[in-house]
Order: sequence, then structure tokens, then C-alpha cells
Amino acid sequence: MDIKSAQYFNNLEGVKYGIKVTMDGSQMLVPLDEDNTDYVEIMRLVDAGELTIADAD
Amino acid sequence: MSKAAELAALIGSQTAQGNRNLIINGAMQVAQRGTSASVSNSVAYLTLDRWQYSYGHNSSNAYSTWTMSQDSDAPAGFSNSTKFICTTAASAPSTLTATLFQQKFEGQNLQQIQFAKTDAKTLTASFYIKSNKTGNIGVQLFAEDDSTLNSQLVLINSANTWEFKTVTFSSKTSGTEIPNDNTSGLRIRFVFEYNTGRAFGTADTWAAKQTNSQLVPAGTSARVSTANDTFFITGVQLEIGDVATAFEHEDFGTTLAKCQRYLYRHCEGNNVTISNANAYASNMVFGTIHFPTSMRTNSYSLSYPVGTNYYRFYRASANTDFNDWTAFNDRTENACTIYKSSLSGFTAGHAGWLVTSNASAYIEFDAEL
Repeated sequence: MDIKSAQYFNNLEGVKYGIKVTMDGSQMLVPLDEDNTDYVEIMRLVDAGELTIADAD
Repeated sequence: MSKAAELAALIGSQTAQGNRNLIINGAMQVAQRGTSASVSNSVAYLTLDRWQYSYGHNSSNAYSTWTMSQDSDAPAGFSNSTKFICTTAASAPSTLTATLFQQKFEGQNLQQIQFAKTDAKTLTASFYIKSNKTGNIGVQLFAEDDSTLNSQLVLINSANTWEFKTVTFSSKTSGTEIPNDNTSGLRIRFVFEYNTGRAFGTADTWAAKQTNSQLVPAGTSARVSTANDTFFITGVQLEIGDVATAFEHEDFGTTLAKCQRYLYRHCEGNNVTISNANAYASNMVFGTIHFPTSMRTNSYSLSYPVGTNYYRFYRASANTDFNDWTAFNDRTENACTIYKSSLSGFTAGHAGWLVTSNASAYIEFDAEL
């Protein structure tokens, strides 16, 4: 994944629900779940200091 | 063994019956994501469904770049193959340089092989391959739950010629049983580029994964690529037993449905229906998408391209275009609600429908292993 930016998003109840990832020309909505391979990769990048996830709007 | 005895053994082992191929999309027919992509230093699903590209290296400039595609070059009885062509060879291959093509299997689809039990089954892989280079490629099983590997070699005898190959893996009678769940329990790997740092252990022996995964048996000479090297593969089957039976062809719809458990491209192109929809508020529209096949998990990702006016909400003799989606909500294995906020001009409660409004638009759900 060539991630340009990442930001948490909430559900309608205002609870943190996922991460919106922006790449070249596309976006991906990723659930907060270690069963999701994209979430695992995002967290790997965060742990490696290569990505910061912005707070939800 | 006589032919009659072989037949009796096959019937007795139940492998002569249908639905024996553990592989999904072995005939390389389904490519929901697209039919061609450039691959290099990534581990990703980019073209053919269920098949993942992976690589290895331990320094920059140590990996090759390939175009991976669905190709019409195939042996008799098949219409498609997966083709790799090396567009840029690694300028400085490391001892760990490797390129492989793999498929992962859900544990709950593997219970019949009885790994880590005294009655564990042998498995046989069969496939057609073609390459401009002769020599060995690696074929490997990787048991996820105890990180053990069984590596073997398959010899490509003639360049640029389709060849049918089989390889049998000894039963795995010790280690960790594969959980009966929807997580990955086993992988099959086809290693068509490797250097000496990937050679370890004895062929057809289950051994613990090394820090840098071994991919071929010890003593194997390197197979490092040069520009324009090619590797084709199709007709991949993995089945119980030590005899490779004829490839189990299935209709396209059956294979597509199996693939959609892991990836579902819901819509693609211009003026394509996304879903019925409703104005939740004056500035928000919601649509619910139902899946044709239950997804592997409700922890899927949702992908879509972003572009000016790529998506449209029709309602009450009006329409509103927008560029992307705000979020998804209320995910299950069978349905998902998507929505867009920060719009304007709606009357809460109005019904309508959502469509794409650009040829490049699509919506895709990914629950791959």
C-alpha cells in the first residue's frame, strides 16, 4: 500500500469505527480489527514510524 | 500398482469424487481486480483472485519488478494462465532475493487433511508451467499455525514449453493442528526466483521456518531473474493423496462465487447501480449493499477510486454528485451500509438510488487472507 494519509473515522454514535486510508487516486475504509490484513499492515507502518493516523473529524 | 488397484485406492480415499481441489481459481479464470499489474517490493493481491504475489530481499535494489497478468497463453483444455514477465531485474540481488506466487487456505476447509494427527494425509499438487528458463523452481507448503515448511523442487525441462508437473508432500503427523476456523491454516507457494540464502533443509521434510524463510531445499542453485524472463502457471490443483488426478474443471460461476467470499467487486464502470438509498438527513445519504456470497469475515476493507463526481444520488427528480465516501457502517458477512455526508439539499426520508457516474468508478470489498 502506497499510503498518502490516514485518518480515523467514527460511526454515527461517535464511536471510533475504522481508518480511512488515502492512496494515489483511491481510498480504503479499514475496520479496526487484527483479522483484517490491511489493518495489520497499517499498524506495522505506524509502529515503524512510517505513518501517523490523524484523529477523526 | 495395477490400474485397477490405483482406481480402487482412489475410490477408497474419496479423492476420486468431486470437489477435491483445495485451490480456488486454479484455472486462472477470475480476475475481479483487473488483469494486469506491476509488482515489485510488495506482498499483495493485484490481479487474479485468490493469488498473492510476494517477494523477499535484504537490501535495496535486490528485488525484481514484474508485470503480473492474466494471459490467454495456456495448455490444451485451459483458456487462461497467470503470466509473470520481468520488466526490471534486481540490479543487485541479495542472497535473500526471492519472488513467489501463493494461495492461502482457510483452516475450516482443511480439516480433512488432519495435520498434526497420526492419520494426517499426504497432499499432491499438480499444475502446468512454462518458462523461458529451464531448471528448478520451488514448490512449498507452509503450515501457518506452527510455522513449518515443506519445500520441494520441480524441474522445468524445456524452455518456452508447457509442462505438466506433480509434487507430493509427505503427511504432517506432528506439530500444531489447524484450527477449524476462517483464518489461514496453510499456504501453497510457487517460488520462481530465489537466491542461495533461501536454500535450507531437506526436500519433502517438514521443518521450522527460519528467520529468513527457506523456500527451496539446501544445495539448490540460485535462480535469479534477468529482464524479460517469463513464468506462466495454470491448472493448479492440490488434493489429498499421492496421486495427481485430472484437473477438476468447474463452471465460471462456481469459481467466481468461491472467489467472492474473499473479494467482491460490487460495481464497476459508468452508470452502474450501487444500491437503493435514502436521505438520512438533509446532508447525508445512505445505501446498503448486499453480497452475493457471504464474505469470509465482516472485517473486510472497502476500496473505491476518488474523482470528481464519480458517484451520484438520484432522488425526487433531482440528483447530487460527489467524489468519494465518508465511511461504512453496520458491517456483516452479508451486507454493508455505506454513506456520504457533508452534502446538501436533501429532504430527510426521501428515497432514491446510488449509481456510479464515471467509467473508472468501482466499489470493492476485500476479506482476503
